[in-house]
Amino acid sequence: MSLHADIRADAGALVIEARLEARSGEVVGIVGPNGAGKTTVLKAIAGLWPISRGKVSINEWVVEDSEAGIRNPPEQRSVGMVFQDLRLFPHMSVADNIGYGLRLRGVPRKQARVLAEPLIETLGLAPHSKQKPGSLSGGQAQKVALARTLITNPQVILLDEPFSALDAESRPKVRRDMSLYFRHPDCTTIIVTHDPMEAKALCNRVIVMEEGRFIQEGEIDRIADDPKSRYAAESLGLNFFPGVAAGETVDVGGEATLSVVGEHHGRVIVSFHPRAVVLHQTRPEGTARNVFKAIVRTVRHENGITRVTTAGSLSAVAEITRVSAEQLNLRPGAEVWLSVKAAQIQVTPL
Amino acid sequence: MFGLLAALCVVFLAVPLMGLLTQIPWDSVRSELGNRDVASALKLSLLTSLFATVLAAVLGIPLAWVLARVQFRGKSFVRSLAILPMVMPPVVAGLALLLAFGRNGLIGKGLTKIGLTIPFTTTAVVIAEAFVAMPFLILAVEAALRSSQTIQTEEAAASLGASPSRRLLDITLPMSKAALAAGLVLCWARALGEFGATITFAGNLPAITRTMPIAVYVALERRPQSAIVLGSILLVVSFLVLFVLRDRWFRAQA
Repeated sequence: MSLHADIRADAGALVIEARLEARSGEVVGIVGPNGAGKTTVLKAIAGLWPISRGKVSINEWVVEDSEAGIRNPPEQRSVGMVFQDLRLFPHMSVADNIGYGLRLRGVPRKQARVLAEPLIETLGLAPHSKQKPGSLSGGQAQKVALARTLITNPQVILLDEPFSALDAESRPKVRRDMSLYFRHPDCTTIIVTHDPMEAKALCNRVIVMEEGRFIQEGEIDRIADDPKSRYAAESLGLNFFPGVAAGETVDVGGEATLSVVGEHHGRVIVSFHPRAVVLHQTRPEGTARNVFKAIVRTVRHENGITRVTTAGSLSAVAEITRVSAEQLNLRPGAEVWLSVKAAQIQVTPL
Repeated sequence: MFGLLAALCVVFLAVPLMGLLTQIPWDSVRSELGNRDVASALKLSLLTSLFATVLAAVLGIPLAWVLARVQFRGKSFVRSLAILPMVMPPVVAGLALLLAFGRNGLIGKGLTKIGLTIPFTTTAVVIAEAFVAMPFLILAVEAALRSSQTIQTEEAAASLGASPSRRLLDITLPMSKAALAAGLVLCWARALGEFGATITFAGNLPAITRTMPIAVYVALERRPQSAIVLGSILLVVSFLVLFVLRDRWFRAQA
C-alpha cells in the first residue's frame, strides 16, 4: 500500500471526512460537484491544509498522525501537487520553473536546465523555454505546471484538474505524454477531475465525493452501472466504450461497430448519454444504423426516470421515461433492442 | 463647479512650488553648494537617512512578516503601534524619544550608567528618523507579504520540496521586490525630510545633528538664499522619488 489517508478536516462550513488507500502505480480519480471538498483532500495529503484529526502515510512512512503528534511539513513529504490555478513562479523562466525542483535537490542551475530539456521538448515548450509564465497561453502554462511537478519524481502525485486549461485538441496528447510519468510503478497518483472521459482514460478507479464525504468508490464502469447519487449518474453514468476508429465507424469490440459523425482514426473512446439510447421491444424498422440486441440487467426508477442497464454486444445504459419503461414491460432478463443516433455519439481520441 | 474647484486645487498645490523654484538664485547655487554648512548638512542628511532606512529595514521587515503571516492575540494592537508614528505629530515623537532615551528616561537611565548618551548625537538623528519613517516600510511590505498570490506560490514551492528559507529567498523576496523597493524608497524619503522629531530629540548641532530640513529652517532667518537652494534640493529629491515610484502608483490605477 503506497498511500494511506484517513483524515478529517474543516473547510469553512464543510466537514471533510476521507478515507483513501491507493497502491503504487495506481491512478485514482476523485470526482464530484464544485465545493465537495476535493481540492481540500489533496491539500491535506500534501500538508498544505490542516487536518483536525487523522493519519496520512506514504509507503509505510507516517507523514502525519494527529494522535501521535506527527506532522511533516509539505516540503518533506515527497508529495507533488499540480494546482488548478497552476501557481507558476512568475519571476522565473519556463525552463527555471520546470528545473526548480531539481535545483532544490542540489542540481546546479545549468544541469537542471539540461535535465529539463527532454520534458520541455516532449511538451512542445522548447520555443518558450526562456519566456516568463506571464506570456504563455493557458495550455502552455498548464504544461509547465505539470512538468514542474513530474520532473521531481514524487512518490505521490496529486493533480487538481490538471488538463482543464488545455484545448480539446492538445488534451489527449498531453494526457498521454504525462501519464507515462505518473503511471510509473513507484508512484501513486490522485487526480481530481470533473471530466468523466479523463477519469475513464486515466484512472484505475474513481471516488465520488459529495459534501465532504466519499460516497462511492470503484471502477468507473461499475459506478456508472449503479450510481449512488444524482451527481454520479449525471457525470459518470455515461456510456463509455474504448475502441478503434476507422473513418466513420468505431469498432468497440464484442462484435459491435458504431457509426459516428466525422472521420476518426486510431484508439478512441466513444461516449453517449444514457438519454440518447432508445429502447425497443422488437428490432426497429428504418435506417437507424447503430442497433444492437441486448438483455436487460437492471431496472431502476427514480424521479420519473428509469435507468436500464443491459448486457449484449453493446452493454449500454439507457435512461427513459417511466411511462415508456412500463410500456416496454422491462424486467431483468428480458430481451431488448437498443439504438443510438450517430449524431449523439461523442468521439474522443486517446 | 467641480472643475473649477479642481483647477483651484491644482493652483493651490502648484503655487508654493513655483514660489520656491522661481526664487532659485542660479548665480549662487554653485557657491551655496560649496558652502561648508550646506555641504555638511547634505552629507549628514544622506548618511543618517540611509542608516535610518537600514535600521527600519532590519527591524521593520521582520515585523511586517509577523504581521502578515503569524496569527496571535493583540495583533491589531501591535499593528496600530507600528503605524502610530506615521500619524502622531513628529514633535511628540521627538519628545517621547527624548523622555525614553534621556538621562532619566526609561532606557536612558541604564544607558547613562554604562556611559552611553543618545540625545543630541548623530545616533539620535538616526533613531528619530527611523522611528518616524519605519511605518511607511512596514505598511508597504506587509501588504505585499499578505498577497494571496505570493502565499499560494510559496505553497507550490513547498510541494516541490522547498524549505521555509528557500521559499523566502526564491519566491517571497523576488515576488515582493517591487513592494520592498517602494517601501524602502518611501521610508528613505520620509527619513530625509524628517524635522520635528529630529530637532526635538537630537537638537540643532552643526555637522552633528543639523540635517537638511533643519538647515533650511535655520538658514531662513539669516541666509534666505541658502534656504532656497537647500529647499530646492529636497524638492528635486521628492520628484525623483515620485519618478521611481510612478509605475507602482500609476499602474495600480490603470
